[in-house]
Amino acid sequence: MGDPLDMDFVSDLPQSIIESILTRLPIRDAVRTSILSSKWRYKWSTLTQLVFDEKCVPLSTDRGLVEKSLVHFITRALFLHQGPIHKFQLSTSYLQSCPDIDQWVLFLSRNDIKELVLQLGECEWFRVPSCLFNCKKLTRMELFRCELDPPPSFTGFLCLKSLNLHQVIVAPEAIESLISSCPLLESLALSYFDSLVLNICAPNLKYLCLEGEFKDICLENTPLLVAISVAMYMIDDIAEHFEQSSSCNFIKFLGGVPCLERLSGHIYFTKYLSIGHDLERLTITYRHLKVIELYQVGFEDMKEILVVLRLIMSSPNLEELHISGSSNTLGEIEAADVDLWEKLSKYTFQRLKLVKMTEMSGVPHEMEFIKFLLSRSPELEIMSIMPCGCDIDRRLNMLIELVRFKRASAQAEIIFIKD
Amino acid sequence: MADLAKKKISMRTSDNKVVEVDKDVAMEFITVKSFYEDNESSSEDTTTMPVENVHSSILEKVIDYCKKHLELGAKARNGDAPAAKEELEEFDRSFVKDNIENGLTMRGLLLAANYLDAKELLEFLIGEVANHIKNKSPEYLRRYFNIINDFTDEEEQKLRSDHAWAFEGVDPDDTHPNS
Repeated sequence: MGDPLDMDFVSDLPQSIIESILTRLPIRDAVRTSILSSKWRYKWSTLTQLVFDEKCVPLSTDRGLVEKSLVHFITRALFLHQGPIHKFQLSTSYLQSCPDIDQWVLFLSRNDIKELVLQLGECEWFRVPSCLFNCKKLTRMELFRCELDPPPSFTGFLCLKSLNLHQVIVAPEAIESLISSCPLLESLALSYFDSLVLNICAPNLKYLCLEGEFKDICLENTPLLVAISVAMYMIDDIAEHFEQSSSCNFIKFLGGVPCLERLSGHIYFTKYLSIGHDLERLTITYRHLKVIELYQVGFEDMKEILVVLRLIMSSPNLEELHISGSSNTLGEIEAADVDLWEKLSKYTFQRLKLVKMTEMSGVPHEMEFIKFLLSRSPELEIMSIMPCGCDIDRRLNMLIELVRFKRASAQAEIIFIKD
Repeated sequence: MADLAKKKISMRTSDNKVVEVDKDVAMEFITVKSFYEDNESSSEDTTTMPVENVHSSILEKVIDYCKKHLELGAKARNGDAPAAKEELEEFDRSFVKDNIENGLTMRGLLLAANYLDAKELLEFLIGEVANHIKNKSPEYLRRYFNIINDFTDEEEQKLRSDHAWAFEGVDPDDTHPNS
């Protein structure tokens, strides 16, 4: 091995290991290795992954100074860099729109960029230059607070697998055509778009995450979807639009996803799905759907309950169910529709093991729902119930009712959570 | 699987020692796996695999790591995940303490993990080395990696000022290396 004191420990390490170590360092530390010795002078400059944030430069209360230093740092680093850059990430609230970013994107578009992450500040949205659309090798793109305007000649990112757009300004037709022109797209996340109307055509899409105010979403061609997560906000405009709509949202959204394994819906999602009719004619079965989470379900609205019922009764392999009620119990509380619960076919939840009900106010519909689950789930292990509100009397009444419910599963534990 | 665990593979190290390894651990090393699978004339029971690039003391540590991780992986799958996780973290912590802080040992382990193609160990080592040298001064790095500084004072000064944008706000003398 030679005399260890004479030999440096890294010269015979493979280049790939040195690169891996340097890649895991903050970029500033990596650049500083250039003064270690003449051999190390350019080792950092061929790194293919560059991650920048405001920690690259000294902190200061003067925002302008930080911005200036950061721009200087990144420009110098890119200028000294050699070879392809596969990943470029810039995450900082200190930078928003500035001409330097345009130049960096231009530089990256000429250097085989594969993963691009731009998470910028809030003052002025960065308008992404058209050279971005020449990055043919892009596999992953994440943009926060940018403006996208694909040129008419744009034919798509043929290698793109993952797209995440957060607070991005882009015309709805442009988003639709962007999505459908990326044939390999597997993961799509769209958040904080205003009043979006969207048709999603993505034959390879597996993961979908939507958050914001959506007027209308249609999953037109997404047969391979495995996990969906939706948080739907509502403004008055959209509420009116809903009242006038006649199409069946449930089918438009969940009608073509037979491979679904996990579904998570928040805020107005169940209300959105309850719009329209034809719920009776749902013929799709979700054979792989194991976990359903529906939050802020309006139990005072029978139509929303029907959505939940239809969903869980079309999922024969369901194992976990998480439901939270909405706290809108200020309205009139309808008496329970006893007929409905008896009318439901003799359905058994063969695989349901865990049910978690939260934000329960104890209204009749909620209690009937819990009763229904308890009596039809022979494999149930845990039914956990968390009431909302501090009303001791109300909680007591809930408990009294609960205790009477028949259980199909001898090992089911009912856990009533007191705060 | 009991049979597999009892079976042992022999490896001859650079210091001419023969080390016996449980077969299931040895097969985590892709190089070893290929040696026995691709080479028809070598039998696991009788042929000793030569690993001339690896010293026995280093090989022992590598085996130790892989064996522990395999054991605790199995424990986690058998339902005791939280306990297994804690034990694993504890083991990794003392492994780092004993082995990463010494540049020479670190180098031996990296080379061995690379040669044997022990992917999990290699990833772990790379991450821990990066963690160890983060925020340390160039002087510390030179000591740790035993790098001879072949720049003259003027050359180094010029480089530092050329790269001032990367050295701004950092006082290298503030970071005291572990001795």
